[in-house]
Amino acid sequence: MLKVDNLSKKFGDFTAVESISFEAKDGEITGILGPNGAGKTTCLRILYGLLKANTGAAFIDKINVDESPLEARKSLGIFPDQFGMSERLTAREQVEYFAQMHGLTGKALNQALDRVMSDLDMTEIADRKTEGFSQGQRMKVTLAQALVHRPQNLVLDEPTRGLDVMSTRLLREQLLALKAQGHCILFSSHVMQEVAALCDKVIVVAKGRVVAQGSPQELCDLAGKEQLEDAFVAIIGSDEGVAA
Amino acid sequence: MSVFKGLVVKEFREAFRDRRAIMAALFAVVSGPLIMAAVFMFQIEEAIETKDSYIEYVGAENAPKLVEFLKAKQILSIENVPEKEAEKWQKRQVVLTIPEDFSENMSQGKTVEITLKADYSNKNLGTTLKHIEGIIAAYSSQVGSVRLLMRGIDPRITQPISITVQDTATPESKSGLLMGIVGMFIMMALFTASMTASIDTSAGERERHSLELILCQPVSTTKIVLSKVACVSVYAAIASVLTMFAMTFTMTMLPLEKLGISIVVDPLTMIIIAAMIIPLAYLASIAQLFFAYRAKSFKEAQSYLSMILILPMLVPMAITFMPHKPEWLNNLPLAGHSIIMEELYKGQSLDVMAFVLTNIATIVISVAMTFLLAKSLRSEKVVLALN
Repeated sequence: MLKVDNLSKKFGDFTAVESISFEAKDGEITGILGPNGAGKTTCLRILYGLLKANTGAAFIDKINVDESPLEARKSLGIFPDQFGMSERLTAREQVEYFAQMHGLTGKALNQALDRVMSDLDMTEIADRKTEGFSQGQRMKVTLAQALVHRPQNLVLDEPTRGLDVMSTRLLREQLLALKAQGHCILFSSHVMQEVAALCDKVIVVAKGRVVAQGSPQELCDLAGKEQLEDAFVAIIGSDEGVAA
Repeated sequence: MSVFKGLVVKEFREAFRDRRAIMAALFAVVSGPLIMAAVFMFQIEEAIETKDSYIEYVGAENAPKLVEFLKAKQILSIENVPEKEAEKWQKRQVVLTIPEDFSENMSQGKTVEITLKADYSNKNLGTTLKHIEGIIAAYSSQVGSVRLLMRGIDPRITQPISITVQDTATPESKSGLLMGIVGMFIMMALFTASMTASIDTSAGERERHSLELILCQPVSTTKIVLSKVACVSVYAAIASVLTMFAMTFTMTMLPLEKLGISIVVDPLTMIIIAAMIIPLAYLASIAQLFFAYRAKSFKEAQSYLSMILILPMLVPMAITFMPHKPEWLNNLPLAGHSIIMEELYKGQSLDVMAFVLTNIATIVISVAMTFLLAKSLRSEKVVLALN
């Protein structure tokens, strides 16, 4: 379970996030929807313990991230907005590195690696150096390193950006499977179809604030529109930054 | 502990598969001895050959004896210059002018003024000009002595004090400057060899968008920093020890005895130097990582670190030339190491106190920087490279 309570964050005079509160429950997929620059990534960075909030607090499984970041991060898997590859490592070595940071060793480590490689259908690329990997292959490596330690909570920052249909489908299947197993999934996006298709609950963020939250259907009802995209535009009050 | 092992393994895999970093390290190892060999071959050649000099005599007919005296001492007339050296000596334009009234003034016992015209800022001419002045002074004093003798006066009356120099320098101790350079190259190798590796693992990781995600994992930044320090230090230490061997080998191959110096390289000296390289490698790697983490990109880090690169030259030099310095400055990292290495190569025994103090100072500074860097990686500014 992930929870943020009354988060505010300023960079100098600029307010990136203001009094944001929401909760992502276990066994649900929660989406943060908002135009570019709405404060989604800042909010997630506070949740990871990378940035310190000016007010409020973030919790991972009820552990306060600011107070004990290392403890809190143990049950967190992160799929970042950039696929950073160590190009001189093989895919397996790179995933291994992240697994080890979560304390996996010996037999358990090897089993976890084998499992995640077959789950994500990447045994063929496992022993290749990541240099020259396609965007889809990079996505797999990144997802594998987020999932290898089987975290209770998974956070994804704009996961489908730049992915082809096959990769997007694979990602979607994985998320639905994790949801079925009772994991908590939070992902930020500005792609309407994806959010509408996947999310149990949507939190709409604009200009650093939560402007609405509820299921996709509830949001459509709230705005009196048929499509989530129209509802979204009506809710945030402009068509700025909406991408399909 | 197992977490730390995982971090270190990843650092080593990355660093030792990095061709660019390995080439940089090899270059650092090879370049030092090569530069040194070239410089000393040249110096030895200059030192052992007392060559003929060629100058222009104006009015040579006015003082044939003086000119003969000079020519006997290898100061020859430009007219007789061999073709091979002609251009060089014509360019140097050393002119000795002897006035017409030379013999007249000489016979009257008056002071004769002769003129030596040359570019005194030309370093290549220094020895020749000093040589000419010395010969003329000797000739002048010879004539003076004869004059006194003819008047029945002991010429020694004009030299109330004479000084006898007893040079206690041994062939080993004359090697001071040379040994200073050897020590400097050994320390330089620490920095030049590990620079690429240290940037790649810090600023490079940031550029590849990996840093942020790594800092979001349940691992303390101290462990991350230490794993990188371990890897970069090994790079630096290997290169530096190799440089030490290469330098030592080069020096034994050079005919240094022709410069009147000799070097002492026994296994114990090498072991002591290697023992100093280890804490220095720690210092070199943490110093480079410390500044590279402040850069947004590989290139920016390179420009920061090129300034650190000159420290192994600058610190020992500054300490050597500083007048009235407090004693403890001699135990600063790099400066202290340079002094100890120089003494060892000169064949002096190890100053144990200086050895201990210098290395403790190095380790204390390095540990402090390690914790500072670990702390800064928890700050927003460094994590997101905000300025």
